[in-house]
Amino acid sequence: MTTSGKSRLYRRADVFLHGFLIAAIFITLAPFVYIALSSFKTQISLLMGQVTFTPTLLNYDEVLFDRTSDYLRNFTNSVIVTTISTLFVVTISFFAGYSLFRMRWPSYVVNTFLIWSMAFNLIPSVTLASAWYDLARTVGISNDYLALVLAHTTLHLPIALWLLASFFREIPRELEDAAYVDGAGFITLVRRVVAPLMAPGLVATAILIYVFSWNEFPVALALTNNETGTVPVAIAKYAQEEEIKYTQMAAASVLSAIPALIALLFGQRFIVRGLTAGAVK
Amino acid sequence: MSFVELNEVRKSYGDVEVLHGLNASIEEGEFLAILGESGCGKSTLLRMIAGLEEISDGEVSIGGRVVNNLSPRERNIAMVFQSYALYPHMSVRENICFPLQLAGVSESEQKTQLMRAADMLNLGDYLNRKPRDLSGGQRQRVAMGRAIVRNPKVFLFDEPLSNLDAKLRVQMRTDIRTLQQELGTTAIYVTHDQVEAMTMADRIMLMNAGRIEQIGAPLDLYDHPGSKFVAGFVGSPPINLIEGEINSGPVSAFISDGIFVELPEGHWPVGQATLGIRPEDMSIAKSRGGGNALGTVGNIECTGDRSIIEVKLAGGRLNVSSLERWNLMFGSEIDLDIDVCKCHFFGRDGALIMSE
Repeated sequence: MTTSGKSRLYRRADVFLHGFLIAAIFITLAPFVYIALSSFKTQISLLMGQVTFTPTLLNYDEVLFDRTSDYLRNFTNSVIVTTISTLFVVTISFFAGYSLFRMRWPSYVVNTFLIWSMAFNLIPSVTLASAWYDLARTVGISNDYLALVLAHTTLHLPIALWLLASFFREIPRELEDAAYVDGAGFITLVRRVVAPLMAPGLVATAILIYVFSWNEFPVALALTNNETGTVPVAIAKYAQEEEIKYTQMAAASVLSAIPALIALLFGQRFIVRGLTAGAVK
Repeated sequence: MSFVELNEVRKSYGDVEVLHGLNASIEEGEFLAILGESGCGKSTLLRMIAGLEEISDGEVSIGGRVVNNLSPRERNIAMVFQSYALYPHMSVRENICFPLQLAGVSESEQKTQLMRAADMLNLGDYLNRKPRDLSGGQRQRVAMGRAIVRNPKVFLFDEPLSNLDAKLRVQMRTDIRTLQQELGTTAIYVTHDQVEAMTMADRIMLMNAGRIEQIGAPLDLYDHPGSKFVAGFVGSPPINLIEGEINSGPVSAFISDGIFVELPEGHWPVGQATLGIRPEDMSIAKSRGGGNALGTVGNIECTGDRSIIEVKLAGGRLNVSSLERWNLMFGSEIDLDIDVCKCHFFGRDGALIMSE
């Protein structure tokens, strides 16, 4: 009797917990599904709120191949800016993290640095956008890839350091000692021992930073023009003064999610490890 | 000529000095154990010899060359760590060949050296495995393999056996010593386990609080401890240390509650002293009333080959180790004969007292 009572208790907890899971899945997936479906509708069908409709590829055709559309160029811009800034962020945060977490800094230095990095993320990037715009114009690199690459690097460096911290802390110091005794110099140590051991952390960090940079909007809006605009900027442009092209906007959004989805599919096991590293020994 | 030489070696962290001017010379091919409690500076000293820790003052030389300013790789040493420090992403083969690769050794020579090490350490079957798929003992052997492949001038061991279980530890003790003798390479071995030091080393350097207490052959430390610390550290079961005093009279004697030991002729410094006597240097007196110590029988531990008898005295307790099997009753009175020639006396400062 007691066992059935116990299992009933478990069942009730299961229903409770699964309910939350279903709600979470619904909340995260529903907007995406709505947008994906919208991208196959006509503007009229969307505005009339039709649930059943005949799918059309017209929106994709217009976004990708219309003569007035800059989408492909924007897409290329995004690839360039995101790739370069991710490389910058990962490289800088790797070596900065190496210094911060592997060298013998007093703990207050490390803590101050980390707290400052966190505080930096609390500042809305819009606040920085106008200052960076002025700065870029003064230096003469506004509307240039360089301005946005540097801005994205600055924006994402702190979070990358946070992500890498636990990976650095996981590498036993004796491994470094062993490598030095075995005849390694610093470069060999990094190339043959530290970087391979950090690979999951570096991949996870790179993918997340790539996604952040890919989706970054306010700073990209301030620092680019028609020539150098990135995908989020392009998507926003479908909302014009006289009309909002909802369905094209949806198509552009779906297309823009593809690189991130591919990256996440390939790297998901690294990302899960990356975000939970050090949590459980 | 000595092979590894320490000359007034000091180590400080800021204002705090942790190693206070150490001097020692280690002969070529010798196996030296650095023994001491944790925190006495023995690992720091080893890391300074390896080049992993800066030398604050003094000189370390290896093979006649001062190595203070040389990086670990320029010192031509190999080190085995407590945690083994195997590279987890490399196979056994890659781990062992890593130092050879870095030294630019040809592939064929790498293979020769790998096979030699694998044969010596019975690692042939595991070469393609990753360290995580090996047992503790196997990992230890891979770490040894990585150390021997490049024929270093000196092996440095930093408590290499402390992560192994007791049985394996005894086995690896023999294996390491045999290997070292076969190769004839100088070895410096840090341990806090006096049995390990006693059984493996040609000489032991016993350290205490950043200073060398005594250097000597294991039995030398055992038979002639230079201080109370050395006497207490070396030996298992440990030496008996009894507080008392040396008095003057027609004959000098050491007196404590329940103990009276007449001292050999000579001028002994009078006053408070500690008697050190090893458990096997006492025997149970055949006749009652004739012994140097009188007490009652406490706990008896029989290990088969010997019995350790605890004797409770009025002013303390003694452990007596006897090869004979005694039928003693708990609480019964017992007389002990103490061989005065085997007694060690230490002053208040812990230094050895001798007659003048």
